[in-house]
Amino acid sequence: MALLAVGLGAGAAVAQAARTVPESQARQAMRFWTPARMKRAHPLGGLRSGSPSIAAGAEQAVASSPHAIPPLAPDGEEAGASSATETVLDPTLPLTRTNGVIFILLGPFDLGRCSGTSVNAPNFSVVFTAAHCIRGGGPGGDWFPLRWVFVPGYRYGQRPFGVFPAKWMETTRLWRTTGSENFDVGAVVVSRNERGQRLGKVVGGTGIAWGLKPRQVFDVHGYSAAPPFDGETQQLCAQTPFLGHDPRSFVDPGPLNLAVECEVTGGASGGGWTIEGNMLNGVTSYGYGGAPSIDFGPYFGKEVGRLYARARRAR
Amino acid sequence: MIRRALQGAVLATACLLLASAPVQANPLDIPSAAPPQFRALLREKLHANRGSFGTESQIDLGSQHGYRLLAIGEGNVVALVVMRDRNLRGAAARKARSRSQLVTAYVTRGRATRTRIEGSFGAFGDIDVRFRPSGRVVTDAPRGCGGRPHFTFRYGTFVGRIRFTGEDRYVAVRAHRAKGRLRSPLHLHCRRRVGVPLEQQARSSGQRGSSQFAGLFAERRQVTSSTVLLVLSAGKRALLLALQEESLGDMAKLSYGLAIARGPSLRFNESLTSATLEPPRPFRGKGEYRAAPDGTTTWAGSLSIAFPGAPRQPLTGPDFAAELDAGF
Repeated sequence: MALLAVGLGAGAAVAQAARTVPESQARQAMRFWTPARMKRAHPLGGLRSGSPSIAAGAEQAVASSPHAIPPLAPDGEEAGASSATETVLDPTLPLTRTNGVIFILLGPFDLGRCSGTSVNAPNFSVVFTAAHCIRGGGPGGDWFPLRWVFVPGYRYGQRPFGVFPAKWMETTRLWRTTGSENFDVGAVVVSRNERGQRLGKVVGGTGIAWGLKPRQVFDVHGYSAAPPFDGETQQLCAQTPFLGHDPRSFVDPGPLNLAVECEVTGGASGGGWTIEGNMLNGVTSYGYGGAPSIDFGPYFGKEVGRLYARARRAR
Repeated sequence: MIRRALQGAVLATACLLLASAPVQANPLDIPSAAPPQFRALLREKLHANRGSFGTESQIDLGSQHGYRLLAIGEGNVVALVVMRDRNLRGAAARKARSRSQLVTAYVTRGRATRTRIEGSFGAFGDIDVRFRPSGRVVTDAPRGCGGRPHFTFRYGTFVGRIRFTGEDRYVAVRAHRAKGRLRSPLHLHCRRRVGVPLEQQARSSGQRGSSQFAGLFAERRQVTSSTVLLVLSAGKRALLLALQEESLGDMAKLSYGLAIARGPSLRFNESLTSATLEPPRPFRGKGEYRAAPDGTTTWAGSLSIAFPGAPRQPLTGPDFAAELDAGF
C-alpha cells in the first residue's frame, strides 16, 4: 500500500496559478465550433502531461463552515420546476439552461467534450466543471485552453444561447499540485457570446454551496456522449442520494469523494450536481466500467470555496 | 468522464511489468516483502501521489496469529496494516515470500505529523500517539539512486493509545507504547529497473514474440466496493493480483493478494473463447472462462482467496465481468 502525501510544499510555487486566454483566441474559438465539429468531439478521458502556464489570480480566505451563494435567474424570467425525466426534452428551460456542453480542442483533429454549469457570480460569466476538463492533474499537467467553449442548453447541434469561449481558467490548487481526484473541480470565466451577451444574463446561474454535509440528495446533470448515449441531449438523474465514498478516495489527498446512483458515461464529466433545486454542490468526476450506474464526484469543501472566490473576481 | 476500462487496466499492468519504468525509490513499507512489480502496481492502483515532500510515520505493532501489524500515517491518511507474516528465515524462505503476499489495510482519515498520529477506525479502534525520538537517525540511499538522494529515518517510540480489534478478533492490539520511526521524504526520484521484465524472462526461457502474453481481468463492482482479479501471463510465468476494496462509512478496507506463478497457471485456446486459471497459493481453486459467439462471457469455478480479516473471498461468479486478451 502506498500512503499518500499532500505535497503542499511542492504546490506552493503554483498556488496562484490560473490560465488566461487571449481575446483573439476566444473569438477564433467561437467560429471554430461548427455543428459538425461538435458532433465529432469525443468525451474527455485520458489526461495529457506537460508544464502548467502561470498567470495571476486572486485568492481570499474562505471559511470551512457551510457557505452558499444563491442562484441567479436570467433577465426577465423566473425559475420553474425541475424535470425528473432522464432525458431533458427542453434544455432551454430556466432550470436546465444553466447546464451545457464544453468543447475543447486537445490537439490537431482531437476534439474533446465535457459538461459544465453556469454559476451565479458578480461577473455573470463563471462556469464550473471537472478540473480534468481544464487541465491535467498534478504538477506536470497541461492546460486545455485551445478553443475551449461552453454551449449552454445544447441540443442536436443547436446553440440556443450562443457559444461562450473561455478567457480565464483555473482548478483547485490541490488538483494542480497532487492530481488527486478528490480535488477534481475547475472553474472557467467565459467571454461574451457572438451577440455580445454575458452568460449569466442570458441563462442565469445556479447558486453554489460548499462545506455542507456530504449526505445530500442531488440532481445530476450532464451530457453523456459515450454509448448508450449520443451526447446530443441533456441527461438528468433527479433526486439521487449520497451513497458513500469510493474506497480509493481514502488514500488520495483531500476530502472523501461522493458516490451517487446515476448512469452517466463519457462526456458527463464536469456535469453539475445540484441540491435544493438550483444550488451547485458537486460535479461528475469519474466512474467505473464495472458499475456504470454509479457516479463519483468530489466533495465541495473549502478548496472549492477558494476556487469560486478566485473565479468570481476574475475579469 | 474517466472510465477505468478493462483494456486500460490490463495494459497498465502489462506496461508496469514490461517497461523498464522510471520508479520512485520508495520502500513502500507495507508490501516490502512483495516483488517490485507488485509495489509498482499498487502505486498505480492506489493513485500513488506524485509529491515528494512530507513524512511517513510507521509504528511496528509486532506479530500475532501469523500476521505482522503496522500503523502508518501520512498527512491526513492513517492506516492500520495487517500483512501475512510467515516468520520464515533463510534464503529459501525469502524466495518463497517474494512470490506471494497478502495485505489488508484499514484506512481512515486522521492526522499524522512529525510528532503525532491520530485517527479513528470506528468500531475497530483508534490511535492517538505522540512520537518520542530516541536520537537515532539513519540515512539510506536505495540501490540505483546513485547515492545522492536518500531517505532519513528517525527512530523512537510512539506513546499514547493504540487500540485495534480485527473482524472476529483475528488480530487485536492494545498498546500504550510501541517502537517506530519517521521517514522523509516520502519518495525519491531516480531511475532503476523494476525487476526483470516478463517479456525478457519469456525470451530467455526460449519463448518468442508478444503473442505469448495473455491477460485475464475479472471484476465485480458494487456501489462502494469492488473485487478485482488481474492475471498477466507470459509463457510459463504469471502474475496474479486480487484486490478487494470496500468503503465502510468513514473507513476503507483495502485488501491485496499477490502470487507469482512459475508454472502454466493460465491456459487458453487460440480463439480466446475458453481459459482455465489454476493459480498457486494464496489463491485456491480453479476459474473457468468462457466466451460465447455473441460476445457474452462467463467466469465460474471455485477460485477464492483469503485476505487478512476476510476468509474465503470468491473470485468467480455470475456477478463478475470477465475478459481475456492476448497478444499485446
